[in-house]
Amino acid sequence: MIIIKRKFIIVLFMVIISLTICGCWNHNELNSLGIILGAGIEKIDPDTYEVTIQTIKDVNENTKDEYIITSAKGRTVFEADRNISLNLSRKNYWPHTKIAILGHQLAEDGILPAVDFFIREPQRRVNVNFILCNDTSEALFSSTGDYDSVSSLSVLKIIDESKYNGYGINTNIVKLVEESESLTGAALIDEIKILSKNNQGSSANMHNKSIALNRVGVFYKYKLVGYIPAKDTLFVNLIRNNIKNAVFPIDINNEGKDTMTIEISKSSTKINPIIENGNYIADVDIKIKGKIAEYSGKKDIQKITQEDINESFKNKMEGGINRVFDGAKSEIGVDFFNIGNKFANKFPYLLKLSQDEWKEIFIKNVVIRPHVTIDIDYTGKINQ
Amino acid sequence: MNLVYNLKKNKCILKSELMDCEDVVFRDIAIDGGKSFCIIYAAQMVDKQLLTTNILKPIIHGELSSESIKDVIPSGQVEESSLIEECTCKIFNGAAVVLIDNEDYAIIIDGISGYKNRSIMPSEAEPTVKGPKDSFTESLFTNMSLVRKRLLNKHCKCKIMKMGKYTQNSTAVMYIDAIANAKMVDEVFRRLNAVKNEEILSGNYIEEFIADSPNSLYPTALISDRPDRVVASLLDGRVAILQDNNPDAVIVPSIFIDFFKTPDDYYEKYWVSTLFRFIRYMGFLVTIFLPSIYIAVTTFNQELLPTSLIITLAKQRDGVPLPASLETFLMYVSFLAIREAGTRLPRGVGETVSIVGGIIVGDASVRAGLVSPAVVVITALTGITSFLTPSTQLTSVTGYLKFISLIASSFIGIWGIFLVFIINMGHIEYLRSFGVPYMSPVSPLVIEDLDDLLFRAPVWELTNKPFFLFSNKYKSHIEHMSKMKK
Repeated sequence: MIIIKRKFIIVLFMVIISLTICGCWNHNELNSLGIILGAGIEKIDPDTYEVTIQTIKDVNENTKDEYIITSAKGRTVFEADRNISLNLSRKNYWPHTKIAILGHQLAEDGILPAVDFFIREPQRRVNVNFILCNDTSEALFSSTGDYDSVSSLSVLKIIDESKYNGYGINTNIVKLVEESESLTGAALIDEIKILSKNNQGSSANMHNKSIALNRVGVFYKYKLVGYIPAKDTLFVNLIRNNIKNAVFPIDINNEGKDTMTIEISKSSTKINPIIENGNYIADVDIKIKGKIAEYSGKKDIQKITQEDINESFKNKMEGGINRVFDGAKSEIGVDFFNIGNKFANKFPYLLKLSQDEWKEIFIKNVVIRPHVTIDIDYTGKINQ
Repeated sequence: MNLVYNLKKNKCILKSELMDCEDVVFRDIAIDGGKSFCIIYAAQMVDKQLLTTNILKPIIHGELSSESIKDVIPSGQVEESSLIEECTCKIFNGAAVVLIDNEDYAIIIDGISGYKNRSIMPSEAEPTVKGPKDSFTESLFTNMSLVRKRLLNKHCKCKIMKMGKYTQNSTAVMYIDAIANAKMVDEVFRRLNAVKNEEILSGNYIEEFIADSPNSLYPTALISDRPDRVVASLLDGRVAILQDNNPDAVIVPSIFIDFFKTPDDYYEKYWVSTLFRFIRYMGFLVTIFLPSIYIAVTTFNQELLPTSLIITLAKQRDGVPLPASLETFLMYVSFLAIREAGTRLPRGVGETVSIVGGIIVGDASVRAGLVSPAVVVITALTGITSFLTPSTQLTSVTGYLKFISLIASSFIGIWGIFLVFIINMGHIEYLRSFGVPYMSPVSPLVIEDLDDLLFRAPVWELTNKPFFLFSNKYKSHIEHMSKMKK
């Protein structure tokens, strides 16, 4: 009995101590938090950063705005963030941040301060989506989405929905760091464009502006080195084996325009890296499953064979891959296909190379040999 | 004290024993042959008609002699006794005691009791949609008959003992000796005998007296007023304790999952029962932890919520003056107050209180900006889920645990909930019911009994298979029970 009592007292003591010592140091009522949904980081001059945040407005007033945009400057990103509290009555709450808009100057000078800002503090999540914008972050936050009144949520959904076209990259911090620290040192970040709703583009009222996926910024060693059009990211995603769904129009009858649309439902890419006589050859085997989504050509569709479709699809797809790959080598000079990592997996000694050395090899010696096969599904088809 | 050969003396002794008991009638009868009798009975406890036709008339008409009275009296239960104590007890139990001149014993004629019993009604505490509707009454013999008619087997044993120094309440212990573990049955008798002189007024008294851990929040003896449930328990190898003047049977041993089962589980198809059993388990957890999770995620761990939900909650909390923890706590106390008021009041008034509580306290307090709608929803939801637990014995447990986890989460958020959960699990693991681990058959794992735990197995898997834990086949855990109790 005495032993049981002693045990009980010890357990009780532990419970009381754990309750009281832990205290309420991180106790925050919802009304005392400024829940940040989006943040923008820009470099104003070499020693000054500007942080802009979009916080949710949870006050039940009959106002149109559901958010508050606040910005502050500082010598570092963190200082700028803290300076926001000078003109915001609530504590900044970062865990619900969905997007971080990287300013153009910051992107060109290097986004490492922004990456460090998000990675170092546990409250700031590493699944935040980094994006670029053709305008200021304040302009993006002020614009309205199509359904969501808060643009940060709209941006996230637009990026997410773009997977049905095969466009866009959807880069969060973990992915960005992983790619930037790999042998290729290349990473891609989506850029969002602010569109004018009335197509005049001169309206001073930002609420008349909406947003859309524009192009994709190419980063090398955390610095912006160029852009590729959003449509070309379809080929990049194919090589990266990152396609869930996509739409791909083809010119089936050589009529000079795309008359048949193939909806890609499944894609699988295998890269076989080969080193021959100092040349780095990547055999890219892409297997695609899809179906005919639309046909608008003049030729009777009954007379179009499966082989015709396969051939047209293969030619256009392989042509597109080669074009984008050549552009990556000649115009941007960065291996954003991550082919270098495939080589490093098979030939680990390549990991000893610096990112600059691989970049040199990529431009001069890497050759891609795409091989696309498509399996068209249609009603009544019987798989053997 | 024993009776003597003198009728007058015996009468005096009994009169002095029953002094100031004005409901006891002493009826002297002297018949032609010179033989004298004295019939003693409690006026309100006997059926006057039976007393007249079966006892008084035959004696007065000389049809019964002192020698033949025991053998020919037209009553089912007749016995001799020379103990005054027994005679007085039987008188108050509705029997007639016949004292005979020059005899040192009395004839006790039972079976003429005439006090009114409540008729057999459907169970109010454990109503079912299908299956039998009868429930126990306050008469022990009626209750025993309800069990007996379902168990027409000689192995169904029933031992009756008197409990209470003053109440002398008849207590029946029922079990099936071919199935129940003999050591466990002995242990039940040992514990009952230990409290034999205690005045026991309800099933809860027995539970508190003989439970392994009477101070625990958790009940370790199931109380039921349904004969079908008692029979099912006996077939599992358990022991049922029934009492006179008490419509509740106490079933031991009882483990945690027993309090989530209802008789309806076995009157519906197994997949229907499985679904509802799962909902009950979920309801138990939701009742205890939902309010504390709300406090944790709105005051400490806001990152755990989806963004859209936290935006909604933040908007709801706009202008609410109280902290979320205090707000939740006050709503919970209000709910308890409304429930308690509704329970104790007459039905018509109780309904009014519920409506006033639900509409005025809930809706008006939200409109007044005193509480957020989410807290009202959570309080109402947990109020409903608390009643998903079929056993009222466990409902009170969930109330306490909810309160404890509310306090813990108010201090340290989600860790407080974990703390409560872990300590609670440790406590349940420690509990035993007559030596059977409370969390069995999960811990310790008894695979043979898992088919009636989270899901209810089809009947062909359940029939003819006594619940393994309590039967003769599973002895290892029961071996320790005597040691534990000592």
